[in-house]
Amino acid sequence: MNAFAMLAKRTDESTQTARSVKQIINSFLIVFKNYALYPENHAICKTSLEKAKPPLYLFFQNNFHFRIDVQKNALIFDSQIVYEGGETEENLAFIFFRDGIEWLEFQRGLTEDEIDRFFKVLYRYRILREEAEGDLVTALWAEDFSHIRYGVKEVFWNADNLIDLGELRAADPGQVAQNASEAGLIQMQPPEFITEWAEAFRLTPEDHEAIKRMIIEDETLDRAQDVLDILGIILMNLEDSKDFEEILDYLKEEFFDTLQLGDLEFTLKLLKNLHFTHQKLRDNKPWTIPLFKRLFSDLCRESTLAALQHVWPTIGPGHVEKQKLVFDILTLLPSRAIYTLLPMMLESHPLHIHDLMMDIAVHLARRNSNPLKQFLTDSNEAVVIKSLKILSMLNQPENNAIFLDMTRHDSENIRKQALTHLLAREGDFLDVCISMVDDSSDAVRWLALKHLGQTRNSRAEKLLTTHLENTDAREENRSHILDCYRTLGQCGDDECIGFLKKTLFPRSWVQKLGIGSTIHQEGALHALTALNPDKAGPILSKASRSFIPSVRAACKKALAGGK
Amino acid sequence: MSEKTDRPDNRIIETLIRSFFSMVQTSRIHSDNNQLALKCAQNFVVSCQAAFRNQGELRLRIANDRLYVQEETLGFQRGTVALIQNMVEYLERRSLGGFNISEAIRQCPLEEVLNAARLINNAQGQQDPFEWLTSELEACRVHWITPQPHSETDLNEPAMELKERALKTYSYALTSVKDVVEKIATHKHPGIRHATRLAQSMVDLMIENESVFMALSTIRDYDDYTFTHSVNVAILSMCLAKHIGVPKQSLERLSLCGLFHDLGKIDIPKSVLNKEGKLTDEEFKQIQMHSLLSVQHIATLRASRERKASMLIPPFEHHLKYDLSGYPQTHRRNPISFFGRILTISDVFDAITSPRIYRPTALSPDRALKFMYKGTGKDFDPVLLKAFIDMIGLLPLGTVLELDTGELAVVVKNGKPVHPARPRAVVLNKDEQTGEFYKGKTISLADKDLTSGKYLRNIVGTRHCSHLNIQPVDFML
Repeated sequence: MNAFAMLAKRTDESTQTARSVKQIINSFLIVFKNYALYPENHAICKTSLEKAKPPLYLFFQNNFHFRIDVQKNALIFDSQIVYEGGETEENLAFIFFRDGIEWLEFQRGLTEDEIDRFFKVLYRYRILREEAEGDLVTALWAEDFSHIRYGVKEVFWNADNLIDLGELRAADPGQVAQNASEAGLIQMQPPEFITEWAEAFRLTPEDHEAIKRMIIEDETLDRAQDVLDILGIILMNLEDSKDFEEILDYLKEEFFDTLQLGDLEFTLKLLKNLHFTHQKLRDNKPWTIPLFKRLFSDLCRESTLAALQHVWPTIGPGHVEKQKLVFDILTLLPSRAIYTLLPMMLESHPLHIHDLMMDIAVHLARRNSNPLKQFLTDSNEAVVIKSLKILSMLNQPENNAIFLDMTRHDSENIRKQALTHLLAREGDFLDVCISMVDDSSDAVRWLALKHLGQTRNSRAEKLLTTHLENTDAREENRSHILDCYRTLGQCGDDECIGFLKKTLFPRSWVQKLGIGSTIHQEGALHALTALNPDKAGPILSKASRSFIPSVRAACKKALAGGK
Repeated sequence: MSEKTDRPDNRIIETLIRSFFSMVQTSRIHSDNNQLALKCAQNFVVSCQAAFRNQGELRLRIANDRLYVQEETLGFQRGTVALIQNMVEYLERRSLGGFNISEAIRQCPLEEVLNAARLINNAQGQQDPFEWLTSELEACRVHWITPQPHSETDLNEPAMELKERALKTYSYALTSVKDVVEKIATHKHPGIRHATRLAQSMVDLMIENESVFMALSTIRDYDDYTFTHSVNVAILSMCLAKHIGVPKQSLERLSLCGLFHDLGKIDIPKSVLNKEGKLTDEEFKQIQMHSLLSVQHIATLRASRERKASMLIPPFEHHLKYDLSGYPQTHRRNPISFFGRILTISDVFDAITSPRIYRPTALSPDRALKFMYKGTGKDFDPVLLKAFIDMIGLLPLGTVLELDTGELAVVVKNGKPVHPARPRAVVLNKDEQTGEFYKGKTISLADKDLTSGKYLRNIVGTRHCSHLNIQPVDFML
């Protein structure tokens, strides 16, 4: 190969490398940008991450490592700027620089998993918070990559704020003079003795085994319970409310995290410990009472109990133990947990979860139903209905007034639910029902009439008779009037026979001619068909022979069972 | 993690060392005609060829716990540190300083290579391993490998860059702990980013050169004991943990536990902490509160709950003894955690070897170990204390020795495993005008007079460095 051909080959190779580097950097930038825009698991992020891998692998076909140097706002490859951006956290070079990374090197053999983990690190630490736990460098160190290396410059300390070791005094000079005499000398044991001692301190195979066990045990140890115990001890000993509050804050986080992780046994233990400590300190340190109150209140908040969203899907219908743990945890919270729990119940859940939530809510409301009652004025109909349902399960007679009140709610569904729950309870609700037979809702009216017509009852009979006497026979009331008469037939007895007879055979000529009275006459015939045949039969027979056409027609209809 | 760009190719050296170990190990078990042994010898020859480049000779040397190839130290890589240390120890056990390997190995029969490996193995335990090996190789007409004597002159100085980095790391550590303390004192919630970075740097430094790292633990600050104590406890704990094989990630956690274990002392008045004479019951109660307060402060650091949880227990336990006596006394009767037991040992060792305002005379390191050993099984975990003494040696780094020559010297490298009672030390020369000590020559107490066969120097006794008002680290690094 002549010199020209060699030069051309080298130029080709370097052009190819430059193209390859550009591709790698571009794909890195796309991933980085997407991470700023979308959640880590978003399909766009995943796709761009997958696309970032081939250019690197292509590069490794001809190169052992891909190294980039970092300047304040730029990335350098082989002394050439390959990327430059502004001084913001959107600039990949800047965030490396910000954390003190001077260079990064990806080596041949780099695995896909390493690339994924590398970008995870970038995602986690692209924005640096004040007083953070870590940064890109700490995360890269922790990952301990086999094929990614980096160089770091310490960026936190400068000569001005560093402690000068030369300034440290090893001893008090006054004492030095005193001790520099023979008195400071400790006679040495003979060397043989030290050699023997050294032998004695050489670790035996048994010692090595014991140490190995200690290490394994420590690596696999669940420290949660110990931490909990220790924090409990600290709470018992603290005298400063601010310090106390800080530990409670830590425990609040612990509660959220463990609940989210589904470690229900531990969450329950934590909560029980908190209650225990609360009780213990109640008398000796009354200043802790409001702090605990606030803590428990915080535990009920949506932001904390949102952790449950991770728990519900893990509980199957047969997981009785888990269900019990969740029940025990949530029922250890104050009743105000209902504020969070109830809206959660409106979400779509499997039946067994919904039932579990309902049991919890009932338990909480039984302790104090005030939080639940506050939902009754909520603008969301579903919330009110769910509250009524829970209230109905409390079996507290004092809640009847609430249901009664709610039967006057604007919402038809709420009125219906309120009436349903009310009528399911023990008590005389005939007056309520008669007041609702005029309700604009068919369903509500139907419920009220159904209740009135449940049994033969002279009071219901009387109430209905009075109601019908005062109801105008307008055509738009036809259906309602007929339903009332039918109900009267179900609940009435002898008392209403006279009224029905009077309705059927009017005295005035106007009525006889059937003007405006046919609806009542028809209704009366419906009622009569449902009453005692011994008493109603002759009247019906007379009606069928009446010379008044409307009576005859109504009778025919009623006997046919039509309307 | 920073490294030079003109470093020797670590991968080739790594392969070379691995193949060397495979060969010396198989040569112990197998005869010359064994296929596996021959294969190992062949691999070694091939890896030597790869390492020759154009230089015709490969020069391997050890010094300062480091391996030098062609006079250049290998770039630090976490993955190869253990391998390099094995090589250093292998050569040290045979009192060899290294080898030169010539290109003649290319033409050498594999059986001869195996035979040389066997001879190198057998050099261990010989009266003068270097002399013995040289003559044995000569007798077998093996010329492609030339053993090198152990050179004291190579061993007296760690690389300047490493020294500076070590001291800077210590200074960072002090500054970091102080920074956290100051923020807590002003009711701020400090993050642990700096401390974590520092802990990681400390782990890297320790893995790179354990003796330099351990030397830092001899730094004392008479006036403001708590900060140096925290850093020293972290260093000693990490060294012990590494010595017994604790994984790297856990070393970082242990380091943070050490750095923060005494955070609670900021709530104790200095008048109580430094009180000369007996403490009242009330004052003692205050002192006892500090481990609880440390935990409280750790719990309020700005870090994930998991991270904090991993650092809470050892500081809580660091004044609890192995038999659960000590403080704080609570209803909790769980055994002390693994890191708690490590921290207790380091804490006591540093405390009793540090002069304090209320107790100007401290124990010298060797005496401190003897004192601590009285508490084995009661105050300290017996196995871990044993491991600590095994690690630190009976004449720990920084111990000031008085010699029968009238010289004073500071231990810079313990004599384990061959001469535990005869460490390497730096002679302290005294400036008669200022009365200050300065660094003299490095000596090995194992050196003998060649004609009489007697040791050149013997130890008469030990002194505490505070008696001379010196920081041993100044003479060690």
